[in-house]
Amino acid sequence: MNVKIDLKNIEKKAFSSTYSDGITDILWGILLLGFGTNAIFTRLGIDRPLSLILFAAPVIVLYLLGKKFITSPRMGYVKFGALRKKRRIKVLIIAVILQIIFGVLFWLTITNQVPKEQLTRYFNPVIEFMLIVLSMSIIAYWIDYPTLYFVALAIGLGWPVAEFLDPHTGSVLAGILAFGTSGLAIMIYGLVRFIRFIKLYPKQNISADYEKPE
Amino acid sequence: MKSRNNIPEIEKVLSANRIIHEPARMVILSLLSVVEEADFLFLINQTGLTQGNLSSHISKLENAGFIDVIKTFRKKRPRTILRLTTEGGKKFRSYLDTMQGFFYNILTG
Repeated sequence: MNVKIDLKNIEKKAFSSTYSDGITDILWGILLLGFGTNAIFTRLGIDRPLSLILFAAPVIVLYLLGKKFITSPRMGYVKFGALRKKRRIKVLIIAVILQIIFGVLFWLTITNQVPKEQLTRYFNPVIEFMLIVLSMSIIAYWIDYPTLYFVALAIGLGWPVAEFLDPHTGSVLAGILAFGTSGLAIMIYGLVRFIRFIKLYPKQNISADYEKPE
Repeated sequence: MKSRNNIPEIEKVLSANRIIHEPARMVILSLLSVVEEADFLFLINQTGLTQGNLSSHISKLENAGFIDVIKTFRKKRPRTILRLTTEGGKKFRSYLDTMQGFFYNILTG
């Protein structure tokens, strides 16, 4: 029998506790809802890139404010070590590569530089699904954030489902069904975790005397 | 303290560092060994200890040279940052190796 005292599990649990506020889940849920309702903005005559920016920007601001004013005062401050930093760099590299690939494809489709039919021939939904799900799952593994697996599946399945539903339901309903439902589910899950977090970690009045007795 | 049958593993455990060999302090050192630094509030949340209890253990660890306690201010509010010292890290790792060896020998015979 191998008895190994491995502190990695303690580090992993300490790191995972920083996601326990549910705010990151809410962020992803709202972003998915944004994907799902994007067609509505297009119908209103708002450019797709602009509508995405208008939607994502306030959400990200709210996320940062939530972390700063709600989570940090309750969780406390921690700086994780070299291992976590290395993982973050790897995650950043994958995220940047993904952003470049999808940014280019997105730009090509919305500006009609390359006909959509040609793109789907060379970059069909199956490859899209694998790329999104695989890369986001790797990121989820490295950052120890399980909800990201579900987000990966939601996005990976969302595009082909929306493509399939579009001719039958129209683009607005297709988007809502393909992304909106999963986004709403993840958002509600995040809200539940947030409420639980607030109850579990009330704001503590740390007495200066207790922090370092003389 | 010496065991009658001179089993080396038992000798090592009996002479384990008493500063580390206390449940709350072992938990504190375990947490500090896996992070670069953390503040008082983070440790309270992770360990579940009361403020007074945690403070008392931190004081002992600091006096024994296991941790550094850095008092700073953040927006006029005091904040205490705790870090494992290099020497503290080595002693803690040595303690873990001792305990691991002891349990391994007990279980494998």
